[in-house]
Amino acid sequence: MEEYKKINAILYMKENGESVIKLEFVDIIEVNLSKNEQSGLKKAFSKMLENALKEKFVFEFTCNENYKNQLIIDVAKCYIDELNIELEKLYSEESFKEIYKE
Amino acid sequence: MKTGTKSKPSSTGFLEYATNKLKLYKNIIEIKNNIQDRIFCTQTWLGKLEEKKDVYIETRYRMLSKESVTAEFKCNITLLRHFKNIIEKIENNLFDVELYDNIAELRDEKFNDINTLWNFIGVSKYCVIKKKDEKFEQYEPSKGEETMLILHERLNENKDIYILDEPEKSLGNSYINDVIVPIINNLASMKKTVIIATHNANIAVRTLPYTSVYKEYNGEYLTFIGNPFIDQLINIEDKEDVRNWKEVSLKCLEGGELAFDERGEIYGRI
Repeated sequence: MEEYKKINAILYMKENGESVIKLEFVDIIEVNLSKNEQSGLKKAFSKMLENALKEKFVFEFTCNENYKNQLIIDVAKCYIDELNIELEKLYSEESFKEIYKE
Repeated sequence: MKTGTKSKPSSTGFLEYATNKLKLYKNIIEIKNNIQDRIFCTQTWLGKLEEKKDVYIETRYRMLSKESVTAEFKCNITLLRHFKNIIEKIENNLFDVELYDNIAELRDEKFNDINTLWNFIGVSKYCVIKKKDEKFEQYEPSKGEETMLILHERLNENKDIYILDEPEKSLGNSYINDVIVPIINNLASMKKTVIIATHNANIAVRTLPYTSVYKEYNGEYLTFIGNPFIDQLINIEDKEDVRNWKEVSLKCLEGGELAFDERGEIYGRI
């Protein structure tokens, strides 16, 4: 099975109490779990795709040790797992392979 | 699932987002490749000038480029350049938030008429001649040469009837003699009908017309019909009014018998 680069996806709580997943690419991307904000998510997806086209990766979920909300931890982990499944599906798409080769 | 509870989403939406974006990228690259600078030329033989110079019409199909000019396009060239510019922006901004503004720009109604690749193909036509190295070189025919080429082209078309109005205009006598008269004679031998209005002796006489129509102004216009074989021209309104074909031809086409004889004597002395 192909080995992919591991990118940390760290769940932590901001000082204002918002739960955020930090995706540690060269340019860090933050997905705010406390806001229902489509544009932020689109931007995150866009940067994920841009990075995937440079080098295939999957996320490795970790949680900041101070973070205590178990429900959010479970949901975030589930979300990252689902993203990893979709990333792997994307890598097998012909359209991705064509552009990735370039 | 219990009634009134929310189900877990079946996906994050990332895969759908990414595949749609890749599809968009692929389409944009395809459009960009299709409208990139490219030139294609075809040559159609137009005719022969004196000194056996073959002239062709070159049709140049050129994709919109920096060198393109308005006259080549049916669409507004500024709009086409704007459209092309947006396509480039979409490619460059694929991962930026401006992408959606760029796509929205393309949907502007001012671009409604740009709906096929043909919009981006500029077409121009001009004359070329073949050089010794078989390459084509642009050539600007003179007025006389234009007449020669048009006449040559028309006479080489396969028609039943040809109508020529003063074909001698802007043409040298040698070209009329060497090129036009033989073509007309050849058409006549192929049973084609050739109707010519002319003041040129070579055309009017040396083609030996089956029918000559002569108009004379004598306060009013009189019309005579005849031919060189019966050597007569007969007034269509008065059968008794008959002219001699040779005399009329000498007068109208050669400047009269005296002028004709004098030219003969001068040429005879050379």
